[in-house]
Amino acid sequence: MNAALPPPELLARVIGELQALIGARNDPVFAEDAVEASEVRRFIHATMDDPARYADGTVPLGFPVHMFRRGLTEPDPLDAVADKDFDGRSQVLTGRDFEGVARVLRPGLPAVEVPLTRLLNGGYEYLFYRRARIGERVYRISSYHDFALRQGSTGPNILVRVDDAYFTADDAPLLNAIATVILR
Amino acid sequence: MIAFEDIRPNQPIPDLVRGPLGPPHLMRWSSAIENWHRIHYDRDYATGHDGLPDIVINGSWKQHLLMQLLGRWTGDTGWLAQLRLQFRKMNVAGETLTAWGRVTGTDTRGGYGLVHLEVGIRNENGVESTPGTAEVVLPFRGGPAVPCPFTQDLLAP
Repeated sequence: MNAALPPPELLARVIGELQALIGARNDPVFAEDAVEASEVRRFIHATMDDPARYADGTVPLGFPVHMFRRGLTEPDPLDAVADKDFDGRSQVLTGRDFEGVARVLRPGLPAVEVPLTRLLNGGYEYLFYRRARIGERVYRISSYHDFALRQGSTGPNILVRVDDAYFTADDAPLLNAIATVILR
Repeated sequence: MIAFEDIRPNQPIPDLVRGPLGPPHLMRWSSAIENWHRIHYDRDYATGHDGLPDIVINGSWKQHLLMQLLGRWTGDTGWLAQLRLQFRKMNVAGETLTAWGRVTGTDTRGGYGLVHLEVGIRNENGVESTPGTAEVVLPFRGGPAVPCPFTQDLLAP
């Protein structure tokens, strides 16, 4: 076992603190831009999808998930690129450290403070209502679905499940996604 | 146009094959979604710092492969209502990925057909990386069209 791993009693306390956050939700967060044709074109190209499927002005089912980007005046994550530990993701999640101790998984949700340094994408559970359309504005409401402590092959893992609900500006549901984030 | 009457138990759906997926494909995806995570485009960092075998194909990309697989199969008449997937193994640059699906069961709900599927992504060596399940709603031939927007309540028993 890795000597740097936190002791089990610490993780037991941490998971207890995290479980108090279940149900915490943020206010609606609007994507910086509306569904925009050039973004959709690049998305379809990058996923090697068939453009003919979207000739009616709708966009790929999962497109809204990726609409929540850095705003025009927000800090540049690449400002830290000269740091030897720059990984390109911690800077986006925390905006301040590489230690993996406090992570803001969604704007407006309480930070997840876990003494585990690695973060993995564990998977998703989706419910789909309809495809977004070019020109629509999209917002997201996020909440903590649950937290769990598991023993993995390399040591303890903390699983964080975040529920993201995506809507159009006139409150029409587009999709729900429960993302599993693995901290280890 | 696919209808519920066309579905058979254990029926496979048409595979979706993509690859070999090289650094340009990964760079294009990272750029399209502005993902700066270095393990997806910086080989020296991925192998040297993180000890990975190569730059990693994004899980976020793989999930869309499964959505695409199911969306192409259902066409305009059906609806991918639910999808669950897990990233169990990584895939790296150079691999060819095959998204696949198989019917595991059927039901009817409120005048529509409900198809349960097992789905996944395997590489050219047959290694499965992304197991999942899905629920697809299909119309009966001559029956009402699947509603859009879709109502998840339709799936309730």
